[in-house]
Formats: sequence, C-alpha cells, structure tokens
Amino acid sequence: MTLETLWALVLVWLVAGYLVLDGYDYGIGMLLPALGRDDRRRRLMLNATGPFLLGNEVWLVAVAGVMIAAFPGLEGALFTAYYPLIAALLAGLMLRGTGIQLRRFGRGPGWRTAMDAATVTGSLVPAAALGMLVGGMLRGAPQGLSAGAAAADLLHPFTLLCGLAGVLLFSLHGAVYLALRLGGPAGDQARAAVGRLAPAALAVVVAAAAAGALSGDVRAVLTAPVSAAVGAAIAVGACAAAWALARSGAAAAAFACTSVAVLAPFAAVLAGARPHVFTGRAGEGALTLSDVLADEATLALLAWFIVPLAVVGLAAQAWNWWSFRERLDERSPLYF
Amino acid sequence: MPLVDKLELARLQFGATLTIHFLFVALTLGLVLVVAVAQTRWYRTGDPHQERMVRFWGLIYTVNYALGVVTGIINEFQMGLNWGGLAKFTGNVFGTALALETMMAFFLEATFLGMWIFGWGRLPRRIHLALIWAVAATAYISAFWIIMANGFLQRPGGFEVRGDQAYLTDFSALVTNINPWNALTHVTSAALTLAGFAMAAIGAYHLLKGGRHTEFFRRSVRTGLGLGGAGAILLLITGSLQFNDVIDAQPVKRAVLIGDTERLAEYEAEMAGRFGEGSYAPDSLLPLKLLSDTMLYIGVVLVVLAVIGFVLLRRNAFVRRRWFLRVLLVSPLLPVVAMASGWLFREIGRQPWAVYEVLPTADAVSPGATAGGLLATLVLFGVLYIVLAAADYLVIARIARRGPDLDGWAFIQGDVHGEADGGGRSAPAAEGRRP
Repeated sequence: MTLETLWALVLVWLVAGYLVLDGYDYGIGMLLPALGRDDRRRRLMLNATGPFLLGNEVWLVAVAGVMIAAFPGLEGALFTAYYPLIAALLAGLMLRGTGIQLRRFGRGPGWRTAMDAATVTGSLVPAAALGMLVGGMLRGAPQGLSAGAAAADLLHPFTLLCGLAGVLLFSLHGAVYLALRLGGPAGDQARAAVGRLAPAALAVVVAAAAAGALSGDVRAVLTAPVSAAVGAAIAVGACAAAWALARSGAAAAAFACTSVAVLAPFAAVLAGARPHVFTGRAGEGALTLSDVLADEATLALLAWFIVPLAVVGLAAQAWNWWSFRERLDERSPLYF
Repeated sequence: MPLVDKLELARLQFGATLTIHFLFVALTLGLVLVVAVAQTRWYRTGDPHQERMVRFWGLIYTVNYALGVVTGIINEFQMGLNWGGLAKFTGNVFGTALALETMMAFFLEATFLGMWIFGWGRLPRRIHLALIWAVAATAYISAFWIIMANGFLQRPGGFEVRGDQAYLTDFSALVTNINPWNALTHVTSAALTLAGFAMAAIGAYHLLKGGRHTEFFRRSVRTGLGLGGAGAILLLITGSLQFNDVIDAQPVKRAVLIGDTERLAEYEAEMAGRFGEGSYAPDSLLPLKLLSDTMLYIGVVLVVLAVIGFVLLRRNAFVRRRWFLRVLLVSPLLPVVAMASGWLFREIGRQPWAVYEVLPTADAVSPGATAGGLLATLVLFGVLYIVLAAADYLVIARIARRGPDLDGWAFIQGDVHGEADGGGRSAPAAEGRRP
C-alpha cells in the first residue's frame, strides 16, 4: 500500500464518518418542526443525539485537519472553488450548535422559538450545502469568475436539485435514526416520517441522476460515468431498502441503509471522476491525489500518529454509543 | 490602510474570529480544572458542597464550551478558505501540528465531554470522574498543538524550503521549540487567572446581593481568588520567561516593548537588505505599543489584586468589604482585555511575516480568494460571532444568577413525573429522587 493510498483511505474514512454521523444530526434538526409537536417531543429528539452531538461534529474538524496536513492543495482548490458553500456550511454549524445547546436556558417560549429556528436553519443549510457541493463537483468548478459570478454559478438548477437531494437524504437519515432511538409514540411518528421521506428522496435522486446524465458539464467532468450511475443507483436502492426495513420495524438495518444512501452521492463523484479529486468546468484544471499530496517524509511520519489515533478515536466513540445505547422515551432524563 | 484590500480583510477576519474563540476557550481551560478537582473531592469525600460546585460550575463550563466549539469550527477551515498560500507553503509543518491537534486532542475531548454531560446518574461514578479528567487532559493537549503550530510561525525551525514549499526535516524541533512552550505556560496561567476571577466575580455578585447560598459563594470566592491570584503570579513569571526568548528571536517586538524607535528603524533596514525593498514593521489598526502596554499594566493590576485578595482571605475578611466585592465583580474584564491584547500583540508583532522571516503574510493569502468573498464572510461570521457570543454570555449570567440549586435548571432534568436530579449511580443517595 502506498502512502498516497493510505492517506486517501484516512480521508475517506473521516469524510464517511462525518457524513453518516453528523448527517443524522442535520436530519433531526430539519425534522424539528414536523416531528416536534411540543416542547417535550422536541427535547426528546435533540436528546436522542445528545451525548453524540459533539463527537459527531468533530469528524468534520478532523477532515479539515487531515486535509491541510496531507492534501493541502486539495483543500485550497476545493475551498476556493466552493467558497460560498463552505462558508454557508460553517455558518449553519454555528447556528445549530448554539440553538441546541442554549435552548433550555431561556425565560419563555420566545427564546425557545428563536433557538429552534437557529437549529432548523443550522441543519437545513449544511444539508443543502453538502448536496450542492456534490452537484458543484459534478459540474466542475468555474474558472476565472468573480466572486459574485462564481456564487451565482452555484445556483444552477442542477446544483440546486442536488441540494434538495441532500436535504431529503439527510432528513431521511435523521428520521430513521429517531425511529431507532426513540420509543413510544415519538418513535412511531419518526417511522411514519420515513414512509414519506424515503420515496421523496428516492425520486429526487433519480431526477438528479437523470439531469446529470443529460448535462454536458457533468459529462465533461466524469471520466467513468458508469461508476457515477452505479453510485446513484446505490443511493436509490438504499432509500428503497430503508423504507421497507423501517416499515417492518428493522430500524438498525434501515439506519445502515440510509448511511449508505448519504455516502453514495459522494462516492459517485469520487468514483465517477477518478482519478481526479477536483475538476474544473469542462474538465479543465483537474487535480489527482498525487498533485495535491503533501511531502512523503512528513506523511510517513504523521501516519504513525494519525492511524493509531483514528483507531483510538473510533474506539472512544464506540464506547460512547454503547454506553448510551438505551432508547429514549417519555420518561428519560434530559440534558438539552 | 484600505479595508477592501484582500490581505487586510483576511487578517481582520482571522484576528477577530481567533480572538473571540480564544476568549471562550480560555475560560473553559481554567474551569475544566476547577470542575475536575471539585468532582475528585466529591468522589472521595461525598461532600455536598463539592457536588454543588461540580454541578454549578460544570453547567457554566458546558455552556461556555459549546460556544467555544461553535466559534472554533471556522478556524480549522479558515486556513483552507483564506490562507491557501500558507497552507500550500507550510502544510507539511503547520498542517502536521493542526492534524495532530484534531486527532490527538479535540476528537477525544468532544467524545468524552458528551459522555460526561449525559453520564450523570448513568455511568459509574468512577468513570464519570475519569471522563472529566480525560476532557481536561485533551483540552490542554489541544492547546499544546495549537500553540506549537503558532510557535512554528513565530520561530520556525526544523524545516527547509525546497521550491515553493517548506518541508519538515526535524519533527523534534517542532515540539521542542522554546517559543511555544513559553507561550503555552503563559496562556495556561492566563486561563487559570480568568477562571479564578470569573468564579470570584460570580461569588461576589451573590455575596453583595445576599440571599441563599452565601456559604457556597463565600467558598467560591475563596477558591476563585486563590486560583486567580496564583494565576496572576504565574503570569508574571511565565511572561518574563517569554520576554527573554521573544527579544532574542523577534527583535521588532522587543523594540516596541521598550519603545526603542531607533532599533526598530535599524531592524527594518536590516530586513530590507536581506529580503528586498518593502516595509518590515508590523502595521495594524491598533498600535503595537498600546497592546503590549495594556497587557503589562493589567498584569500588574492583577498581581496587586491578588496580593490584596490573599490578605483579605484571612478570616474571610473579604465578605464584609463591599468595595472589594464590587472590584471582584468586574475583575474578569481584566484578564479578558489582557489576553486579547497579548495575543494581538503576539500576532501583529509577527507581521509582515506569516512565517517569521520566511513567508510574508501577503503571500499567505489564498490566491483564489476575492475581496468580495472575504468581505461577505467577514460580515456574516462577524455578525454571527457577536450575536452568538452575546447569547452565550446571557445564558451564563442567568445560570450564575440562579445559584447552585439552579431553580429547575438541574444539570440533567428528569422525566415528566418529577425533577429527578440525575439520581442514581452518580449522585449520593440523599440527592437522588429517581421515581
């Protein structure tokens, strides 16, 4: 195994962990208005992620840290090209963190309403931004445009459609998570939401895939369009499977499926544009991993630290999940 | 100096976000030790006062930490967003330190803290105690790596430049760099000082107001004063140590600190000779001398406050001296202003270098970043930071005002049948009322 492959795997691992774990947090936040009919119910939903919220979010920080150390060129290219999306993602995270953590320390319902608005916004925006990032990467990054024009370019219908797909996929993932974690009527309501979200997500992914197939920009970026199509198909299949499994009460299996569903679009981009990890509009300015890789000597040294730490980190998080595996219900003690 | 200039916008955004983030972090660094020690005492003795300390200061710590995270996420990304030049040039070195910070420290800290917050009454007491110490340890490891990263910028070593990139040649040089070690001890002292005076201030508020829990707050003032006072003296010692190194490696700062304009001009000429024409003095909206003077004078005031405080600790003499309690009430502002000034001095004093005498800041900005984008994010993040920070301090003030029984804001709130205060395995039997 080369250093390049090893570090690629580390980055993929961290990105996957981030999408699967913080992904359901975005889902929960977006579902607050629909599933959180009263204060107690909303608190249950937020406490369902409770002990895991901070730990889930930190995977994104790990992604940024590893990118700057191992793939500094990639971070530079991606963040410059999709600047507004990254900025929106960060702003959303700020709002969400505040909304959830400060929610119960108000003096009246007005405070809670404001905090919940922050949480919902702060969950919706990252979910949409991540979807739009997939769309933007599929279309290729516009070159040589002013800041305003580049931002406007991101509002292309295809990119927006991908954003919608992101919103629905993460909402579905969140709903399945809630069905898994919440007992009683709250869990039932979550399961019902899965029944409505799964077909919607499925449909939008199909539409996005079709639009991508018809888009000249996307075709110029994809070196292996079949792989991308397979990725889209996996997302669709995973949504369908999650739907069926949730209906029959197999929430854990459904969660595995929605995890695959949120990962699949990113895998589709990676596999479909390989070996490029970044592509400009019409296929220009494409970068491969070796183009953006940091110095070998540094990476060899760093690997001795980061790989064991990744294992330790996973073990710590698994301990967290195991310690709080008990389902929540109407009688559970709450922090948020 | 035009604000629409890319470089200035990027610097302003970085300076503002880092300063605000650091102020939250500094309080958590200090408070986590207060909470951990109190929880240890509680675990060993079952003393109800210690339990109250853990729940009360622990809740303030948790709320403050949440906003520390919120204001910190951006910083990890700012490197890639606005400072692509720096990332490309020093990714191998600076990036190494950042990656180690995330994976060795912050990743674990976030995980363990989540467990600690929700583990009241759920996890065995020994594990719950171990968790807060793990959080404390990883918090300081985090500070270590961040300051190591910054230390590389201030006093680069253990690298060589090949082409357009710096390559790490000596990892041990990165971590034995005296500059960040001095900074780390100084920052730690500042964090302890802030936490101490924050405790004393909140305690003083309640002593002035009267009411319930005077005993709890009297003891909080004692602890806070002791901690803050010790911190202030440590600040003096560590600051002197730092001064000795800084004047060596960064003569510009020395020249400013002692007001030696001649040496400053000499140094500028020397730099121009080595690196070509240009300006080599740090420039900023805030005069460097003002920043260093502010920090130093406040340091002196803190030590004076510490001495007075130590005297008044005898026989709890501070309780009846309302003038002193009022001073304590506003005292946390001192370390806050001093810390902001200190960091700004440290960073602005490094200009015009991003990596000292290696990479100018002007070259560190992302080539693809635009003034429009920078201005937009500056405004967006700036507004968010201010609003969210205000909300956080509002909540902390509310918690502080309620006092240790928290009037229904118990750390963990029970089910609809009653406010079970985390009863069960983590609380003494007298407190737990789990239905």
